[in-house]
Amino acid sequence: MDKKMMAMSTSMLILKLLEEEDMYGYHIIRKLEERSNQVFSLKEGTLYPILHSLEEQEAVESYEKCAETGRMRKYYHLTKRGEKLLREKQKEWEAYEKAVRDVMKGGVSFAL
Amino acid sequence: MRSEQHEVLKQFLEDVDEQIQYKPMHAAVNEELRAHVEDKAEAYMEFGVEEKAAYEKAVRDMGDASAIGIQMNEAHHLRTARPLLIGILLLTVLGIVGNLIDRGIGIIELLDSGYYLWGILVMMIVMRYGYPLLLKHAGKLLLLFLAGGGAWLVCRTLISYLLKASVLKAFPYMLYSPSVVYGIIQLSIPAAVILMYRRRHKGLLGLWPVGVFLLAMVYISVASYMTDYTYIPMLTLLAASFGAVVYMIGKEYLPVEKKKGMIASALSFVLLLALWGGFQGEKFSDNFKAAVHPETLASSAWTDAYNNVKIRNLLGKAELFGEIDLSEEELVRYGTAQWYYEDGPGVWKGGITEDEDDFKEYVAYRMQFLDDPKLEEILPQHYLNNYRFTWWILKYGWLPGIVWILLNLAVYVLMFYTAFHIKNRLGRLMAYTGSLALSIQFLLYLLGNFGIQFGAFGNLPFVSEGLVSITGSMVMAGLILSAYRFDTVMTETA
Repeated sequence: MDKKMMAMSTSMLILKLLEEEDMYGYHIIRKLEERSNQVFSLKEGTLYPILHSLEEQEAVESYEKCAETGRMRKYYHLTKRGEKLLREKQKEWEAYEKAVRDVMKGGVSFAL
Repeated sequence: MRSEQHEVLKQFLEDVDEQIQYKPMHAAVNEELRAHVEDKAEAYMEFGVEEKAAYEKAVRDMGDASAIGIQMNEAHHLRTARPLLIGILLLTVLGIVGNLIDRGIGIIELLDSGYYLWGILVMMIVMRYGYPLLLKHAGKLLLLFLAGGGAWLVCRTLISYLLKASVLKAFPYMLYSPSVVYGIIQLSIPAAVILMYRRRHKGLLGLWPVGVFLLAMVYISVASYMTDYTYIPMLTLLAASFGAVVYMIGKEYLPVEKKKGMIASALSFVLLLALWGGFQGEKFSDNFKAAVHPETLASSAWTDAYNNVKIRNLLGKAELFGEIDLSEEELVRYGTAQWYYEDGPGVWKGGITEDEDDFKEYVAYRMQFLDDPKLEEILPQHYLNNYRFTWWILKYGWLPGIVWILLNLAVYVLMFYTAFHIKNRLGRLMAYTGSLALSIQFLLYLLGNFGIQFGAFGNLPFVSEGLVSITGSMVMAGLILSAYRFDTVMTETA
């Protein structure tokens, strides 16, 4: 997939997954691959700067929880601000997607 | 083989760290990335890949370490909650000004207010180092507070014994200030909150060590010499702990059904309050009456109940702007308490005949200060420490007084604003509870200034009054600022 498109959509997809449940990094990557039939297979380390930057924007918050294996997991939780950001990103994406579809359809459109 | 022993992972983490300027952040980032690589390597091994190769593949899947490090560095930096810091410093300066008004302006008087400067220094140090240290030593601190409270009680018993045995001629107030227990109770709040958060997965019942701690503090408060002095810190401790539990339930940090959790925590809070009040018996109900219906207990001008009656009466006569308008005669009548016990409904010590002489003696004693009667002479003792708001209202009018109150209030709003802008859950909870504790102290002080004093007068954080209370407020504020400072560079367990 094109890198620019990927970058535009990754944070939206992460927020969407976190809307369903709190997750840790590795879990997010696996879920992303599983849901997209391996289309979204990013370099895994790049997920963390995105998560940390979303945390900086107060879109997500983190907490730690010990796994059964004894390994400490850092879970991310979507905040109210994150929900709002997700809605905005979804709108932007839909507008982008519609524009691409309109162009690909061909023909002429007139603004009324 | 442990993951730390895999050279490829070690090198990857070192390359990430190299790009992150704030070194204490390295451990937290490493832990998160290492956990990811371990998970991925395990997945490869489940598919039959040999361990060394599994780690190599897992690290390769992570991508460019330097690029990750550079982006991580952008997201993590130390911050300063400047508006809150400036607000606190402003209140402190006004506190010093208030002291200088009380004691006169001069070098010696300024040096006498040195504990404010000490307080600022403490706040700056706590802001810089406090939160990480608190996370590390919260449990030990609680034990220390319990030991401190216990030692306080043992000393009290010993002193009582020495007094009875006439070894001590007088109570050693200087060595045995009630402020110590005030500080112990006040500063235990952040440590208690951290303990609560760390035990959250065990549910409400898992918070039992905090319950035991609160119970012990209730006992220390009731059994201590001058219980009245512990009223405000105890109310603050109980209410702030309750506030913390409610917040944790509301935010679903505690695995309990919201409604049930709220009811259970409210019941525990009421139970602790009832125990605290019940253990004190009549003393508690008298203090409550003195706050709510002071006229029923204002049997002499030496009582706090009388102060409450007088303050309420004076506030009713305050001007919108400027000093309260009282004639010289009125000032004298207030100064001698005759306005209440002769002209008003007050009855001096139950109206027993022999006590009439007692009242006359009081009037004669007070008259020596009222040759040239001034507002300052008719106010309760320590009015500049205990009645900073009332003083402004009576001296300068309601409007300046309200501005002064609103200025204080603005700092508490800023405090909550700062707390709620902390992303880290534990940091936010601790800062929120600290803000709650300081706000409760402010509120109780404010009530006292409107003639609703409950127990001994508390302090107005950052503004009034002594070394221990100012230091206590500054430590609490420093911890809030510190939790904000380290927010993006620390994890809960760091």
